[in-house]
Amino acid sequence: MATEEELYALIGRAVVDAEFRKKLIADPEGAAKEAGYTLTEEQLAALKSTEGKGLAAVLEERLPKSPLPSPA
Amino acid sequence: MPVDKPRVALVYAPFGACNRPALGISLLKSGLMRQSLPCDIHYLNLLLADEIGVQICDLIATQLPSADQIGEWLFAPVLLGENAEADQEYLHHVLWGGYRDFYTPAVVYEFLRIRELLPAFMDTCFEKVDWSQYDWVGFSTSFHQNCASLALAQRIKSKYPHARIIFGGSNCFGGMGAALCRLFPFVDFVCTGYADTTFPRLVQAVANGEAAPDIPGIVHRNGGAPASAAAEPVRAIDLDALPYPDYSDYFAQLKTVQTPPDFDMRIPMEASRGCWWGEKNQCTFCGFNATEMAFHSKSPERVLDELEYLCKNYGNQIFFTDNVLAQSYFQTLIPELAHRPGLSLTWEVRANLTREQVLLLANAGVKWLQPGIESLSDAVLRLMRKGTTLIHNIQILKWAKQFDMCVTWNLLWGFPGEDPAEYTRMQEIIPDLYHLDPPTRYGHIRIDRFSAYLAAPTSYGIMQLRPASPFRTIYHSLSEDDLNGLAYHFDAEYPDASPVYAQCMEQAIKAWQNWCGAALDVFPSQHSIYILDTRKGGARREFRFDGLAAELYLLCDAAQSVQFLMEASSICERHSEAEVVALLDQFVEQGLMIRSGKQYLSLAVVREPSN
Repeated sequence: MATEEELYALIGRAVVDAEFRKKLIADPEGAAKEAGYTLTEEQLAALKSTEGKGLAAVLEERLPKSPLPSPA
Repeated sequence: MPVDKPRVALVYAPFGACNRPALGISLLKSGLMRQSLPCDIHYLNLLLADEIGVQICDLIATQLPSADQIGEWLFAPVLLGENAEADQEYLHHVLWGGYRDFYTPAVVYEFLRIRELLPAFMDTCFEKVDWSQYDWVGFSTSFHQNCASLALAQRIKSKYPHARIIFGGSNCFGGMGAALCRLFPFVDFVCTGYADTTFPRLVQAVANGEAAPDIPGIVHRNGGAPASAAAEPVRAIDLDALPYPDYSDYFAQLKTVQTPPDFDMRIPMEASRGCWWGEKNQCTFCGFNATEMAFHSKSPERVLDELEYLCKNYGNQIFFTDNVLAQSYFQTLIPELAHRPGLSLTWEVRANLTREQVLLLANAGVKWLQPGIESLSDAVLRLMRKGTTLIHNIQILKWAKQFDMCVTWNLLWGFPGEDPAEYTRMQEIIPDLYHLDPPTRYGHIRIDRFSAYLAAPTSYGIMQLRPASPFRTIYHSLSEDDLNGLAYHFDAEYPDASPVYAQCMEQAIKAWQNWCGAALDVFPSQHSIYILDTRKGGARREFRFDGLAAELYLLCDAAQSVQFLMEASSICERHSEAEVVALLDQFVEQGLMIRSGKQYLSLAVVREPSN
């Protein structure tokens, strides 16, 4: 099972490694395994929760409670 | 070679807001049409919304912090190519630098998925429209629209070199426009200020055979390097002489997008430009330049006519783009609007309105009010030269509640020179305000181009000014000088006390935001008042006051000093000053009033008299 820090590391790698990013997008579970992390069902579901219109729902839910700087 | 009827395309790229048509280019279209110059507007933001969803497009365009430039980061590879080092820096310094819990791995994963779609999306933008038919392609760019606009402009210019590329919008104001023209050689012209009259004039002049006419505020590329603008942009134009905006392209293209049931579409309208307060006394953090600051407004008659036109053609949810409501409208336009039922208006105002003015706005159909509150401390408000007080800020929140208006406002901190103790005091006040609308947004101030912090940094103890981190990573190939020209937000070093209190402020505001439905209402009857208070932990407190106490509480609906109260004949003839002060202090003790300086303000919202 990947730890939270490992999840951050996984996405951090996808940001800088174009080839790995493509693999991760095509097959999150397989690409993570190849990188040495085993994603749990819950972690996979969390990744998929933001897919498509899910991203807006996830961000909207967090926005009113989040310490985001304000455009003056 | 002279062209008989030049055709113009205007482009509104991602990530521009999808829930409203774009005012600036819609005015330009009408201005061109007046001269019989054909013009089409292409809302490419709606094209992207159709692909990835209108909600996420609008979140990026209007909800996520503009200073993070997320929309620009998403499109950066399409314009400038990928750069792993820059992306890593963006991830760690911008996304995970301050908001690691917000931009979780799942959120960044989806950003990456969107980013992967954008090269193909740009192909679609290029292929879906027949750009060859246009003599001019203009791009309106504000906030997160530079990268997508520039990427498309580059392709159009490359394939159709006859098309003149022109940029405008707030990302091009002042020196930023000159930098944009200099740094991107496929950009032929940039409007560095208002383009309402100058752009149609430019199109006409070029059609008449002038290669690069000198028009105030327009920078152009004359052969190799861009020439500087012939003169400063115009600061004020006759707003009554402008045409009505033509929003037809927006509504035609919106039909192709699936919108959610709660799609909050509002029609932009401007009654004025500039800021009459900022002209005299610019707030320290305000990022308007001299052109944007110069205040001028439409005549009331013109506003009424235009409002009628917009409502008839596009709907009655009108969003005024004014930076601040013109003060003179309280005598002219606002009372007149009360005779036009069915309006739903959004307006930005100064916070120091009287109760009568707030009531006038409510009767005029203003449902959403955006006062410039910014702080709940007199000392901090003085520091930012806001010209308002804590009392003004609480009064407007209270009266807006009384007259059923929603309020959107910001609470800012991190001002150079502030005393952290002010934030301790704010945290003490906040629970007493749970019955009023909490700040919509809150957080650290930005240092923007054109602000006093950038103009005179040493006066504020500000050092090491540099383009903000997102600009450095998004435009990774540009030099420091070039970034200085292009950036709107800046990073800097100064004695910043906010790390001491920011977390506590965030907690206090979150508690406020989560405390929905709390009430503090006062119901007046003939000789007494009844107060209902549900602010504290859901417990219900009730108070009844008679005689002098009731009279004082109602008199302090607008803040009053003891001296003023003692001048009221009904009080001074029957009661001593000591009696009055004792009652007022008791209200303060009970959390039913606040005292600020010499003034007392009742906190309860006045409701209909009880029987």
